[in-house]
Amino acid sequence: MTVPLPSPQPQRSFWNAYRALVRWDWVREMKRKDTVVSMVLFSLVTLMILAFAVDPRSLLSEEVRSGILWVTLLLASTIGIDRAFRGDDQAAVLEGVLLAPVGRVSFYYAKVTATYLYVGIMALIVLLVFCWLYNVSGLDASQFAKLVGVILSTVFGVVVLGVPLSAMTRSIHGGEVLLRILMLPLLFPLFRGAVLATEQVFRHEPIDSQALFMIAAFDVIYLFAGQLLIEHVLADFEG
Amino acid sequence: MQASKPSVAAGGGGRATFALHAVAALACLCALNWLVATKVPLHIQMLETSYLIFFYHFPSAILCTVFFTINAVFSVFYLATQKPSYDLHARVFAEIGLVACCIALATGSVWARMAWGEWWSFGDPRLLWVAIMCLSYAAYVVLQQFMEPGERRMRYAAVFAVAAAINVPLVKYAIQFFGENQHPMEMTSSDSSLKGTQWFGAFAFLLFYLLVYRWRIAKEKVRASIESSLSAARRIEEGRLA
Repeated sequence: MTVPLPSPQPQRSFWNAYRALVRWDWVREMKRKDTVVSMVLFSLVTLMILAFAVDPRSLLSEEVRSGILWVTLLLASTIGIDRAFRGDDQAAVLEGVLLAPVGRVSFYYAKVTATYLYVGIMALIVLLVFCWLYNVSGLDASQFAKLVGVILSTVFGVVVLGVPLSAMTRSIHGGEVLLRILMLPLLFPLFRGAVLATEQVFRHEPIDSQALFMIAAFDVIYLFAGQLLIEHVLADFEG
Repeated sequence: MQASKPSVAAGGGGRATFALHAVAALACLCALNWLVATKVPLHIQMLETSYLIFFYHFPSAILCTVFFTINAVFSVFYLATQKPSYDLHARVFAEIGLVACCIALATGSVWARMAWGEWWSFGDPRLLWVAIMCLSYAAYVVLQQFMEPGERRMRYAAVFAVAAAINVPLVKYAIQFFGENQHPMEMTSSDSSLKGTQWFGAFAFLLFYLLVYRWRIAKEKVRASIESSLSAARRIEEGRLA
């Protein structure tokens, strides 16, 4: 008598792998705290340098403030994205995961989620520090919620584009520099939409629908593009 | 039997057709100069003669978006089939697209100096978007410089090309999205002879860029042939020593 083999459950294995990978990344970061701390420190330094780079009177302008906030967040988020695949422990886990019968797509979504958690936490901390340093006042709860929404949706776009590029550059000599060269030009539409939307929140105006459309379209397009392309990026993993 | 010798000038169809192509491209560029010098009226614009650079700026601007789109199509073909020839075509189209984009930016900058009094304007969304597109494809070329030739480089380049191609249609819609337009939208629509010169210019430049394309493809084939001969010689040498 033969025992029937259990039927494969791809849906269940997707979620199991997804949860396990996100948990591993999260526990690792909670132990070390190196990614979030380095991003926040870099942001503080950038906020101070940019304040010295422009005329102090121009810091009262909403356009300048919005630009400073986004330059800081964008540059800092490249640190977190770069570290998503770099390091000995990342390479070992990546090798193990890719040898196991785990779909590349669940791996992609897990990496996007974990990276989004770090970069999102960093962005919220930087927003609070920015509001304090640059005297952003007069925002009521709904405007602050809008600002947080713009920041989190923009950071999501940065992460969904950045994760496949980070996977590509992980084993290239000089990959840290290359990641920024590849990523920053492609982020321009998202950056432009985010700067406009943030400026309008600072002005207490309703957010332009075209800016929101630009952010949302970028997030959706690159999320699905990443899902399609990750198979090709991880086709010949070399730890 | 002796193998046929690859030729840098031959491209896909031999020296004679390459020479004919070169002569046709040169003749069309000369004809474009003649049309611009003699047939285009100078009184239709407030900018006096500075707008004549438009007939050199427009062809490169329109063709760079065409070449980048073709690069994306070949990259998708490569990802679907893994055939190295698709990667070669994608790479060369990106290179000539980048050259065309740089020419469009340089001629646009000269024109901006004459028309707006400044070499560059950050207030013009289309100008900004073309510059960003140029940087994206410069990054594509740099990515290939960072990596060793091989299957992995082809795959990563194709992945990046698909991601970068999403920016290309935005060049057309940049002004609709972000307004503040200084850029001329329909420069020659009022005059059919000007429109004819404009599109003849695009044709002349297309011939020129395709000539560069054939030359690059032929050069890459020569390089591939040398590399395969060297690796074959290396294998024989290693076998002899073993």
